[in-house]
Amino acid sequence: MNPISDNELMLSVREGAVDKLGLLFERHHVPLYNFFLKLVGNREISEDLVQEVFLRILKHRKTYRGESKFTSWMYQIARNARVDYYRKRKLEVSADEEKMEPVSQDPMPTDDLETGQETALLRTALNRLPFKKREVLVLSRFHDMKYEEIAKVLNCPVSTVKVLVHRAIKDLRSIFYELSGEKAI
Amino acid sequence: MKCSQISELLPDHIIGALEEPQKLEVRQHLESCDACSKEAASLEKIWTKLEALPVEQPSGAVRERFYTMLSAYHEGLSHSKERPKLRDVINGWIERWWPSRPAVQVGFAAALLLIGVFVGTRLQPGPAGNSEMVMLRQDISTMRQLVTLSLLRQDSPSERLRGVSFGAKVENPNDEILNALLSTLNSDPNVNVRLAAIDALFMFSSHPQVKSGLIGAIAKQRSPMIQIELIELLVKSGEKSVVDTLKLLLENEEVNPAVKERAQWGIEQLI
Repeated sequence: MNPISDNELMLSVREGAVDKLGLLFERHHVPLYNFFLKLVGNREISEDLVQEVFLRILKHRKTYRGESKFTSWMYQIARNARVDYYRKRKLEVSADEEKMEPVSQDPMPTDDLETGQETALLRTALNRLPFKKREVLVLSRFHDMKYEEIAKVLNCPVSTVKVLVHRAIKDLRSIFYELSGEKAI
Repeated sequence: MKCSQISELLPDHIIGALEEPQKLEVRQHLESCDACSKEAASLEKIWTKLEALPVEQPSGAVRERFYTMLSAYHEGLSHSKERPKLRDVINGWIERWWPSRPAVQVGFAAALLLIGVFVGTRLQPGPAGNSEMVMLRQDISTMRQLVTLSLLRQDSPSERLRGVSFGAKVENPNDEILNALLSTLNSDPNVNVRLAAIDALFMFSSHPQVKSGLIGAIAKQRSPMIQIELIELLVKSGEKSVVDTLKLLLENEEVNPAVKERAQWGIEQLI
């Protein structure tokens, strides 16, 4: 038996069965939390943002049209929620997100001694990527999104996403090897 | 294709975004070109390394806040649906009864005012407003109990830890929750989960079954750390009925010396 699709669930939420949002929450809150964590680097803010996204889904459920994937819609809301969060708190000094780095880099409890060093290095390298590149890389690598889907989330041409992903991988490689002192090739 | 053209396609190649025939062309080129194949390997390496970044788990508070929000929203929704209906009923009623001549309207209004004042002075404010809040609180409490029970059954210790901390927040937990927490204390394989269960259970130590369960747990535990924690908390709360259990611990040869020492201290404190 196939589980009910995200799209079907969200359509029932739209029609008033708001309890069904619980299932969507269970399916997506952890990936969503990790999305925010990789972009803002702070656990507490990421948790607040997850809450905010589901609140917005509930409030604006009537606007869900079900034409594209539920996750594309959810990550669009997530991006707006993040921008609004910083706008409200005036943490964004300039509108230029290219330079935005995560507010803090909490040590993650999963870092143990053996794998910890490389993981920490990777995380630092990822955080040093300019924001837009980091965002597309995270969506592509950790959320298994194809260029077309990312383009929907970002509301931009597929070609732009493609270029951003290409540059992001190459930049990440340079930063990582610069930090680790190894040679790239 | 030239190397420069291949280089453009390499990121797509490593992330699996290429379609035939380009896919085949790139593969064939990489077999024959050393420089491009090294470049591809290097890009692939960083792409693969990213896999090592672990999936992080949010704290249990996220789930709790979500379900609280959902039930509050649900509650608000059902109320807003009732309101227009009520208004329609009242409007219809007024239309039918309101007199059309102004002089009669004045008399009617004065009579209504008198009735209003009379009724107002007689009636005591009822508990109606509070009952909605009580129901909402009950709903949230029931939801917490359900989440607690399901989390306590999870395989992952961190999920069970969240279950325990959820359980600690339930107002007036039912027997099912208390028994689930007690059985976590007695049989969970993870020490941290058991320690958290002790803290949660102490919140409900006024329940007789919890008190006797905590006392009974001292002898059942195999971990000295847990035994000492139980002894300390029970002694500090002045629980005199624990003395008999502590005396039995002193007589038992298998019991860890540090635990015996604490038991001795406990007896001295309570007697």
